[in-house]
Amino acid sequence: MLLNIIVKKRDILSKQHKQSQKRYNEISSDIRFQVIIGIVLIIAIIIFSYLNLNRTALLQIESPNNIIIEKNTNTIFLETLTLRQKIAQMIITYDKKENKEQLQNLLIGGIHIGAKSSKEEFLSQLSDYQAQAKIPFLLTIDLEGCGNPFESFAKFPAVVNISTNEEAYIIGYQQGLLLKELGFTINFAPVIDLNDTIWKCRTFNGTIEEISEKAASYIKGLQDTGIIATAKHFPGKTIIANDPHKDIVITIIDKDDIEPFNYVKKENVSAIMVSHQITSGFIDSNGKPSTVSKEVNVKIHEQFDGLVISDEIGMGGLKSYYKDDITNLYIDVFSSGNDLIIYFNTDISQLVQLIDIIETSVKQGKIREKDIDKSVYKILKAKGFNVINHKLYK
Amino acid sequence: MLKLQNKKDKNNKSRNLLLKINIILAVILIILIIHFFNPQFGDKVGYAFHSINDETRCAFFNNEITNPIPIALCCTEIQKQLACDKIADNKADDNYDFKCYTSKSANYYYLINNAAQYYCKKEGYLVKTA
Repeated sequence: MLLNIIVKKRDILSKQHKQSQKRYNEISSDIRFQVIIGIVLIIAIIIFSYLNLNRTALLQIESPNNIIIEKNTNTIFLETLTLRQKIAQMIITYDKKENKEQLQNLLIGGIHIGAKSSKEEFLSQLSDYQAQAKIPFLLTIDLEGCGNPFESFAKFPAVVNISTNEEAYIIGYQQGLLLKELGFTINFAPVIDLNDTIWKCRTFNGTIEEISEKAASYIKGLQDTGIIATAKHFPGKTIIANDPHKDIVITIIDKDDIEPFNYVKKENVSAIMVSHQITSGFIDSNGKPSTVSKEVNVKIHEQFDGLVISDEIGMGGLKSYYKDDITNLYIDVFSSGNDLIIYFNTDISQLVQLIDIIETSVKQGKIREKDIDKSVYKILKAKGFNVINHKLYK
Repeated sequence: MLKLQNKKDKNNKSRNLLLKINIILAVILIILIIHFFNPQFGDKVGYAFHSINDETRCAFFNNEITNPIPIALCCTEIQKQLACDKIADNKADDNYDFKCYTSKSANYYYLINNAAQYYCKKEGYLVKTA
């Protein structure tokens, strides 16, 4: 009897032991599984951390070895550029030195530079961009009104405080010399809106005639140094107070607003920048933002054959008009007669997406390649090339 | 038997710990994957968080006058500045959190709040905050 109990107890214990052992083994194998999962996760984290850090490096863009430039005559053959490269030439993006190689290989047309802490930093960054570039970048800046990106080493008066045409010329000339020395090509200035109720320092003071004449003198000063001046923002009324929460601005343009633009056109301004405002009145954008309005573009081109530059297309106003339909925004901005499109997004994949969309649109016949060629012809001329385009003149 | 039980308890604890670690690692990996395919993800979350109670605010300081700037025009201007410094708490204007300038001594500068900072980053602009 006792033996029986002992045997039973032993069996129970043995069974419990086996169960425990089994459970122990299960847990052990579970731990091994968890360790393996952990290792896999750690490896994946390391890989994605690397990919996140080197995101732009993953976009392999081949060096543009197809471009033919005759160095001794500085002649470029436009037909040697691919469609993608021509589209890229029409884009001005924002300075980010990590993007240098991709921007050079994509053949992006220009880079906008913001404030830096010293003259040396400007010199080094700008020469670095141009050093390996197959086609030099248009290097652009906003030295206008009261925003001075060179504040740490060069002081200039606010435009609103310029009192005579002579002073306007001298300041334009001095600024041009500095820009030339640093390696810039274009200044996105002057602002020739008639009134500035937001910044209160970006545009000239005076009557319409005085504003027009000061602007023309300033432009002459800049352009006498070889810097391209940009009259902005066509068709005017872009810097007057409005609801700060509103994204898209609707204004009525008077004949007066256009006067300074007509005046500087006659005085040979090299470039005009178009705003995103929807306008009616003397200039009617037909319910569209001016940047994407063919009607506005026709008005700009009246007695003007210089560069037409879009205002920055990432701005909330334009995007909200398109309800974030980026594809149509890109197509419209490229098909409305802008030669240069400012897009400050520093994500290279966004620039590649823009080029992809426009390339597809050209192939689908939504944008004429002939128009792209016309713009690129002007851009390459502005870069100092003799441009040969057999395609255009066939 | 007791020894085995102890071992089992210890392994159980280890297993639970490993499980927690793996969950954390998985979350980190998901964030990294989302960030890889959508780099503005963090800023979008930041903007969504701040926009619950906070409107975007941007202003230009011009000779002691602070003029509000429409947010649609603000981000491009902020990107062109040299840097944006956090405004010290004791000097903080309730409306703004950052001062963005071309030089520390500049008489003209921009003021933005946290929501504006996140909004501009979400839209793909560089905002050079420390």
